[in-house]
Amino acid sequence: MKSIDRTVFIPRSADGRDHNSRLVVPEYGVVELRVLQGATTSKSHRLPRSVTPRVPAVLGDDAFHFAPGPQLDPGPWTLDAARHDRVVILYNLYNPFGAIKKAKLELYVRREKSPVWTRELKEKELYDGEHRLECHYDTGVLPLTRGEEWDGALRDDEGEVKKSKRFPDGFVTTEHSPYKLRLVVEGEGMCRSPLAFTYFHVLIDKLELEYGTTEMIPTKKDHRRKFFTDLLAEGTAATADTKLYIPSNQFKSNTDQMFNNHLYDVYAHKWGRGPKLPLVVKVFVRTCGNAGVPAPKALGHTKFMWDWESKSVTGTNAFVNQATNYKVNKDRPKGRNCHKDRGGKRGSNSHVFKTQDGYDPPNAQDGKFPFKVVNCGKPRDWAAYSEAWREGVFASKTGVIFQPARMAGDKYKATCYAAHELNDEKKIRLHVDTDAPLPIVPALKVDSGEFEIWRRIDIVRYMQKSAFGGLNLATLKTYYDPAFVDLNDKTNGNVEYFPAGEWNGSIGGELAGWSNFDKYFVDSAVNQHGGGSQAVILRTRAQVCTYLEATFPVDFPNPGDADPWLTAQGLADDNACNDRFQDPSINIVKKLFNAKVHDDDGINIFHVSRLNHFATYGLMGEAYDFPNATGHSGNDAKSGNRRCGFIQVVDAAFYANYGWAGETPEQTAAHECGHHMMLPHPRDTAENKGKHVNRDYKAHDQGVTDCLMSYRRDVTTKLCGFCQLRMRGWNKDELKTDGAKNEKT
Amino acid sequence: MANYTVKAGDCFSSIAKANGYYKYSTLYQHADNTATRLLRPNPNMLVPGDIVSVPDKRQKKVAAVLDGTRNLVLKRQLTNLRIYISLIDKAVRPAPTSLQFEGGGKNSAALPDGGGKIELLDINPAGTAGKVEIQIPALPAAPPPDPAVVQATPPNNPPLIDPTHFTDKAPEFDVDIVRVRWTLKLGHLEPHSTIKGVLQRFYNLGYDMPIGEAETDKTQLLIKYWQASTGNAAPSGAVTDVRAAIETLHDHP
Repeated sequence: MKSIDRTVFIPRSADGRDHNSRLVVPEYGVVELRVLQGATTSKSHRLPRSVTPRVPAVLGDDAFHFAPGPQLDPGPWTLDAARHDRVVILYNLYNPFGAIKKAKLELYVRREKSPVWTRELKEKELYDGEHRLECHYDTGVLPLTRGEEWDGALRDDEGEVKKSKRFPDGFVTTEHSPYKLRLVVEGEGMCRSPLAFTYFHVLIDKLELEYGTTEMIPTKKDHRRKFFTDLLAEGTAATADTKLYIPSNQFKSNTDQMFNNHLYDVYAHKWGRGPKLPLVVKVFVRTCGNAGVPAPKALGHTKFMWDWESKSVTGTNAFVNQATNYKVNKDRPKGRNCHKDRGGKRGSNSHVFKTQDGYDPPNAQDGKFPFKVVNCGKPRDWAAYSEAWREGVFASKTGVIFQPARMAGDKYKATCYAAHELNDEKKIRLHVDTDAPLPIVPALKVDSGEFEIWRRIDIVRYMQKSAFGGLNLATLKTYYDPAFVDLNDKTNGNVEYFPAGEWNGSIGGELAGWSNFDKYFVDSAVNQHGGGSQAVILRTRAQVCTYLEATFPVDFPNPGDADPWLTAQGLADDNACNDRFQDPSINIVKKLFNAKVHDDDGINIFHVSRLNHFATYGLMGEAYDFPNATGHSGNDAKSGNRRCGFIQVVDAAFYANYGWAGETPEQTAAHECGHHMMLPHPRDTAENKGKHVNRDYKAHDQGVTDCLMSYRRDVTTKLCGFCQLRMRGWNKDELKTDGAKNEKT
Repeated sequence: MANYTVKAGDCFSSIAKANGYYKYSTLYQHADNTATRLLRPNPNMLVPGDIVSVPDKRQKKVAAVLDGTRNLVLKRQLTNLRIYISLIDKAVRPAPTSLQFEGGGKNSAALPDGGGKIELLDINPAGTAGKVEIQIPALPAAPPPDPAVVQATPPNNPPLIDPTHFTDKAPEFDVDIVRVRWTLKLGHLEPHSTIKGVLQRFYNLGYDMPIGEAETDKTQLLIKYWQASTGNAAPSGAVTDVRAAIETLHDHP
């Protein structure tokens, strides 16, 4: 039993005197403690059985929150001293007798027995009654202001802020929220309420995802920066579904490259582990009035977890589906993106969010990523943690370099979670052995859009000799859509025509080099350019006969004498003429159009309606290695040629003559494009003979015969699964032509 | 006629008793004590060093008859004791455990009553000590604990507060019976006109007030506490500013 012993001074009362002596048991205690702003207040609690003559107000709740510290103007994202969310610490002591000898405010975080901050109350702060604690706070002008407001800083009574590893700016932060603030008193006498306490939160209100800046990309390689700059120029938000077009103007420089793994190698050399996208999250802290504000000092070392999901799905091609089914449910994040075993990043330790050292505020540094990023470690070693800057130009922001695999057709979704919440083991609650999405309220995460990887190959020029019904580039493009290759029409629908004077000037020289016999077919009086859209305007066989008989009357004295002579020369009919003049004609085309290879990287399409009027069958196009493309000084042997061109030498009427069910000019063009993009014919094209007999034709789905790269014309061809995967950037050497063997779930 | 210098614990009742007077007023109203009376309007509150004139005893003659009966009535002025025990929580009735007084006395009522009044009549004025002990009952039992917090999955923002997550140690406090023992120093209360008298009253009222002849920093601070508790927004801590009020509070409950 507690005893209180006091010696008191009592008068006697003589007869007739009515005075008394009042003896009072000294009592003291804490009535209440709250944090408030205006009418919004936290709830005061006391220990069970606590009593004081004055009772605490019954109001407030345990969800009280505010945004500690200075705030940024969300427009220019700079500090604005006028913005704040200061609160009042209100307490009420029952201390009419001055019996309280010691009173201390203590701030606790969960699962810790010692306070993270204390402040002793002194003198008049111990008076009986209600108090609003006077605190120092920063208004942007020194010295600090002292008033009945609290900005969340852990300051002592002199205003010195208490910085620590856990509270790096000396402010309460989202990292350790919620908090328990308590007021404990000790004294002499009877205490029936030794403390009051209240809870408050520092909450993240929302996260906003956006792209960072080009300068954040930790490289100075131009093509990586340009990729991102171009993405920014599209103006698409980082939260919107977006196709990431990886520039892939990489073409063969020799035929062997169609058969080996050169495509994989050059693409890998150029884009390595994938394009780099700085993703930045703006972090907003919730004010007492439930607004989101950038309050960087309130973030501390709050961790943000970056996670990703593989979002690609099955398509219509069985071969591709089998390949993407590889370990589909085994490695995490689960999904159908290209597995790391085939050159992609699905599977652990894929480093979609690569570790970054970051650097210190306040200013941005070109070519360096500002935020520190570390791998989450097992079991979530595909994810990463980042921290926010708490000052400087990136204050209240955090971010990662998002580096998806370069594999076209892969689809990613990145998610940033506020990961400060701990479980009962003091571990990050979200650090669990589970794929995303993780359970969290919407405000504490932000999703990117779905990033679908495409390879982009530019068509930089479509040129005809002169106008005729030509290719539909939009239709051409559709042949590559299944492979997530964007044949990007940079011509803007502009068909160019070879200048007449230049054509005539150039072709004259070329024709001059023909043999005298072949020259019989050339009428020098004919305007080669104006004479039609064919590559070379030749005399008809009958015209040649007439010409020979008129020119050489001695040799051909009678009408009809030249015909048998021509026959004797192997030119019995138009087909024979076609055979003879195919190569000389296409050589002219090659020579002339070589001068028209565009200065920009990409595919040039040069189109004549026919090589000559004899060409009613035979060659339709050729993936020619134009010297101006293959010999371009900017070509990089390890990255492939930047430029290419092919020649299309027939028009729509050509196809109409055959009545093919599938072949079209666009299909032909797509086929030729395929060659430049290092796709070979299938084995059954009859070219695997002679010197080509040992070529590796393990480049097609063995189960199909209608690959675009075949010579099938009876059907609309399409890229076989093997071709599609190669076009997507997959490692050819890790694929089998038997689709079933690519599937190993 | 002799002059008596007052010591701590003296009052006119005790001085009268010591000098064989049954009525303190004989001394108090004596012309030689006029100055003292004016200075000390309450005959039971003197200050050590005060001078009290003790008149010589006078012989009183009364007529009597032999073998007859004459009733002589001795008029004696009683000396009483009145204390109010005041608990802040009026609903709590302290349970008396003992009352001890030098000089006895008769209870005027069960002690203490609902208002905390203790009154002893006709105590020996010479007594200087006593004790009062009470017990303040234990606080009512704690209500049953709140049910365990069931956090939403995923937790809301803000999450529910789970008090069990906070492991700070709760201080012990006076939830059980509290025994309060007052040792009474009878006759030692000085008039409120003196600094000491004011400080003594503060002490009786529960303040840990240092008792002295002069004000100190601590006396000022404690007086400020009291002033603040009465709604004084600018407490001075000065004895002079609280003298009348504290006398009313202490002496006239």
